[in-house]
Amino acid sequence: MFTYTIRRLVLAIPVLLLISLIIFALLKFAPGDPMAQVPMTVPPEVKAKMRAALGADQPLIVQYLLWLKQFFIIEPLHILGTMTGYDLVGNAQRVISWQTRSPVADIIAQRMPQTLTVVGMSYVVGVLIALPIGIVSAYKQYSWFDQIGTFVSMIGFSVPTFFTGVMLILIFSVYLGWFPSIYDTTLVVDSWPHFWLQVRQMVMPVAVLALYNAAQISRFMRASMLDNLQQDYVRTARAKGMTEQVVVLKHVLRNSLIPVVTVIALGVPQIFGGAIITEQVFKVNGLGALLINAIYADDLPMVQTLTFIFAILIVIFNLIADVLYGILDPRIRYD
Amino acid sequence: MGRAMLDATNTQKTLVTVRGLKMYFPIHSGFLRRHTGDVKAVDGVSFDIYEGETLGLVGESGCGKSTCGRALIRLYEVTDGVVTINGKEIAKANPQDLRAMRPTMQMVFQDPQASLNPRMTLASIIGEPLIEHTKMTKAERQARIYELMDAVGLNRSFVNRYPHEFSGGQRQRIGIARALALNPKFIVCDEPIAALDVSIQAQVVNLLEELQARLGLTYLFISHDLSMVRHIADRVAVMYLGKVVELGPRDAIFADPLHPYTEALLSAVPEPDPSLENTRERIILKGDVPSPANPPKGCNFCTRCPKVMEMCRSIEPTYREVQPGRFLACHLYDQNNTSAGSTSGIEASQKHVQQGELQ
Amino acid sequence: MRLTTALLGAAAMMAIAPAAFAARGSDGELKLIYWQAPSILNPYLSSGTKDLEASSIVLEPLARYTPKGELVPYLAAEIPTLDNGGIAKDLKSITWKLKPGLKWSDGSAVTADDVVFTGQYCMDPKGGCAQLQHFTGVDKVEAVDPTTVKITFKEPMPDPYQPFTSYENPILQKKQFEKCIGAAAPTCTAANFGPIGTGAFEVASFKTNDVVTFKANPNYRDPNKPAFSGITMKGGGDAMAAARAVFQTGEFDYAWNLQLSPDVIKGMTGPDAKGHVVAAFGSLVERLEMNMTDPSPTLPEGERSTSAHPNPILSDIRVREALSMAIDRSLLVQVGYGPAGQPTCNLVPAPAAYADTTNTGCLKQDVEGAKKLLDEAGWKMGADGFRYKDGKKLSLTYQTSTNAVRQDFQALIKQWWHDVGVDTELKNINASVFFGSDPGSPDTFEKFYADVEMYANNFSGTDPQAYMAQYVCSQAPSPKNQWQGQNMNRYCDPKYDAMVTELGQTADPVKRAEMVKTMNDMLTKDTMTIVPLVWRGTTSGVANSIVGEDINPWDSELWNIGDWSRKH
Ligand SMILES: Nc1ncnc2c1ncn2[C@@H]1O[C@H](COP(=O)(O)OP(=O)(O)OP(=O)(O)O)[C@@H](O)[C@H]1O
Ligand SMILES: [Mg+2]
Repeated sequence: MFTYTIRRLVLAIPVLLLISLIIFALLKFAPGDPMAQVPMTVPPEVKAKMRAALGADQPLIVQYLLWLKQFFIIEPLHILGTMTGYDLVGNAQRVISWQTRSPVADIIAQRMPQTLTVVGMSYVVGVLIALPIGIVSAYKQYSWFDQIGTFVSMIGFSVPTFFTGVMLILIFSVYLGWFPSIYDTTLVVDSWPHFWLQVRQMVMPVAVLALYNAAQISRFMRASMLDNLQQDYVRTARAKGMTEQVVVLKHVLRNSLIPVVTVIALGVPQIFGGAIITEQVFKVNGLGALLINAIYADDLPMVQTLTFIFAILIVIFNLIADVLYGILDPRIRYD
Repeated sequence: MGRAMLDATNTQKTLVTVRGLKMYFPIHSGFLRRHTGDVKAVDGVSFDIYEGETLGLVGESGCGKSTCGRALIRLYEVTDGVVTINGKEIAKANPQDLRAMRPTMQMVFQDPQASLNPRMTLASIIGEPLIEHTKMTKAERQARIYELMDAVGLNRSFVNRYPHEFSGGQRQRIGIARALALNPKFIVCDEPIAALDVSIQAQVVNLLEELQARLGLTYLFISHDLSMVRHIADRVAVMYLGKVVELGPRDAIFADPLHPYTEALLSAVPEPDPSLENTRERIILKGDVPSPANPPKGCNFCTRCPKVMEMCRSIEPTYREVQPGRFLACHLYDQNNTSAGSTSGIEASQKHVQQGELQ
Repeated sequence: MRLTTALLGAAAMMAIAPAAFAARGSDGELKLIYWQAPSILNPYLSSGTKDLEASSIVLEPLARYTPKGELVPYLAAEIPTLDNGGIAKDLKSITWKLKPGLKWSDGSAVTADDVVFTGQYCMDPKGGCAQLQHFTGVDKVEAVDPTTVKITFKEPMPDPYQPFTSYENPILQKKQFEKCIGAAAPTCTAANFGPIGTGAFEVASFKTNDVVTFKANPNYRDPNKPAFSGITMKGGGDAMAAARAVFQTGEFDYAWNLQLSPDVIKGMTGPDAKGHVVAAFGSLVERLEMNMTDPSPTLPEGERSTSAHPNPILSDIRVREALSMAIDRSLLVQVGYGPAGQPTCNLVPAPAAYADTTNTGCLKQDVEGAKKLLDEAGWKMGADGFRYKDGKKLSLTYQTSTNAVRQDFQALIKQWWHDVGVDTELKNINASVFFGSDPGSPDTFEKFYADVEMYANNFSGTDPQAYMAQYVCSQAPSPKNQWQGQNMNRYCDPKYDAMVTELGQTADPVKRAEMVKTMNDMLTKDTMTIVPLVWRGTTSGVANSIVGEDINPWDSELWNIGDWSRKH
């Protein structure tokens, strides 16, 4: 397993490099100009100078190699430097966002907490809701519970989050006034009242995303449970005289969880990607909002860095999913 | 073999009694998945199994053999009927009582691969029921597991392996060891050899026979392999579309099938004696088996029966003892037209008794 | 130019509300929502309005324009003029005097050195300064004494108020930015995210593209101001959500730039609304630009849409005029802008001094007149409802950026032109391509590979001189200037060029205004080169409890944030 993991990681390096090149090329050849949002009152010469100051007028290959160097050498050195307290970077240019003129990594680090709390929490909540719903729905297939579960997950699947989000805002912010419609990212949770505020402002975005996540995962869980419930080994367990609880929770659930756990692991990079739409709707301004904003502003270093980090996360979590599968399922061995 | 003699039947103790067992699977359809009908997989089955004997249960694929076997030991919630095993009511027992009865009745499944939990090691597969039903210490349990492995001929070093690491035959041995773990009296063997290749089939069957002899087990041996049933069973029950159409001592049935369906079924069995093999006449049944969700009116077999009569299409034949120890559901042997059939039946059975004594 | 669309007497109440003279910080927190979040607080590194607005809370210029278009001193003690000797007789220099005793929010003194440094900072060739245009023609900026700055120009400057007189080029603190000059500019994240200023507030925290918090500047020059103790400026989302937060939930006090459809705004500002709409009309005009050259794709690349080939259809002024006459501008306003638009025939609709109020001929739609003109021009109606001349169909291509309102306008105008027999082929192009100035792309508004194009433009500040100068012959985009330049129409009239030169040498405000009006008419009603459609304003939402807000088309909407207070 260990050598397998190492081998996969080593193989991932050229793949990621290729991905970075592809992302770069796609971004470069996509139409757009970092100066497009500059008002027309700014004369073209000024725009040309601004573009030059960003390095956007350099040849493509130079821009790409510079980004590679900044991302793979300078940024890690910088992180190491801040951890050890030595200045390892000196004056070397880090990856700088064109739009904000500040290091991309710092902005990402700043955005990470709100994305992780809101999107991460919604994922956790979604999973926690989805698993029992999926289990019960499968165990009581075609019961009322199952019918309602199917209906709700159909809604979760098909109704877009911007719709559910705005609906919730209209009901709970505009008419009832229970929850704020705009997320306050400056809130520091240092007391119970602040904690309460934090909970209140998280309720709606978390609910919207959790519904969506739960819809997906509960369907997986249900399908996987159904698959296993019909297996002979379940009958074996019953024949052994195990209690129904043991049969369902030990025999069936453990086997059913194998594919579900991998699906959950594969979904984790999405958390880091943020939920672009939900973040916009509730003004959470996490990584999703950061990405979409950077795309609109043609902030190439930001878009490139973010998408590349997502690519890394996807590769890593694919590997984690595979390794988990190997750990959970004795039938699978990587040697 | 040959312990089950016609004259001996009445003296033997009945271990399993089945009366009017019904197992219907609901059909859900439509947008709301409402209950719109039933698959009548087992539809009113009655028979007894005597202690120490092997009752063979035969019939075409899909006729409800597995369902019957599973319902019998309450692996399904049965629709209706009474089952007693070792004097205890099974079919309607509450879950606690039922679990307490589990050790007496066990099952060896058709598919050895699917019937073992892929995430459990051999030790935990065999050991689990021991934890649930006995108060053994860890060491005792370990010893018991080894003992069972020895009994079915599995190398002790395999104890921490997972099911996928075994061959098909080995897996079926695990299934048998598992079934034996709690010292059951009664084991339903649901085509235990169907998934195995021929050379291994013999090994497993021999193992089952040997264990029966050693432990005094009672088997319900489900199979569609009639030669195998002929080899292992003392008595044979024939199922067609959810019902037992004929039941009787093995030799009587093979020598003189009464029911037209049994006759057709047996005509397909290759005769071990080459001289007889040439004269064997195959009865080919026409048409398909009707759907158990929508069985025909009257006799279930009326749509395919070569000897079908008018009344078969409207009146369901009753299942009754037509000769001592021979049960049948067929209008051909109704009171008013017994003459031809019954005499030959008696002669045949006597012949077999003699054969039996010779062995 | 202020137009308050107040509902149910909100305006009246505001007008009579006594100006609160509360103590500094007594009104609690002010909450602003900007649906485009500020990215950076250094106006010299970004020209995004959201960034400039945010920085204007902290940084101040020497002087700035009020909503009425009058220049008032901020850091300066008074406005230099020819009369008070602040402007040299030869128009080649201007001398500003700072208010005495001015302090930065960190307590240090504001000196002429800071002003000089700010000039150097922006004019550094490696800095990529976004506000460089304000320093056009500046020769040097020097400190005469600690409170006096002299700006010398290379040539006589009839409008010497360009540098340091708006939120686009306020004064930076030298001490803070000294090491950030030129190529080092982007490395100074802390300074760019938290500039030290002289305004009523100072930056408390900054999360880029998300939220900025400010607190009252303890060293602000008016000891009673600001009334608010702090500001939260939240960004992100969309205009709709921002409007909702002010009008419906009341979570915020001010929502900037509500680019919403007229119906939506109406729906949210009913009698129970917690806020009202305010609108500011600057110089932004949505217009049709007529291509005086031939955009035909059959022409070789490099000659297409250049002065080498005149436009075969639009070269005839009668056609251009007919096209303008066919349009119903009031309906366009109603459909597209509601309270944020007015019909106009002027390229320069404001400030009032420069607007030709007599140029109103286009406001009334005249379909019959248009048909007659086209007949006269020799375009005869064909059987298919379109006009033909010498077997050639009267057919035009009409491009603009991708934008819901613009596509509505395109559809309406296509219909009106169809009514007079003109066939129109519509095209819309992604805004970042259309306005992207990429010389390699055929779809930029500078290349203008179409007969007609539509967009909006304005001039910064209150002086239209540079704006008018865009239409000289040499500013026509062509391969010679890598398709740069803003004379999209390729308009070329030596008389106009001469007037531009003359305007550059005229200092008398009255005379300047007359000249601008004449030039405005030359481009619009006289030649129909530019066909203005809608004078566009910006609308914002204000909570009913806010007093002192005074939306300003010439400067930041938050230009007087120190004067805002809350009605109790
Ligand atoms: N869980 C179930 N739900 C619905 N129908 C079922 C279910 N299990 C079995 N059936 C149906 O009941 C009938 C009897 O099935 P069963 O498995 O008992 O047949 P079988 O005689 O064992 O066949 P085989 O020899 O192929 O194993 C079949 O028609 C089958 O489709
Ligand atoms: Mg079966």
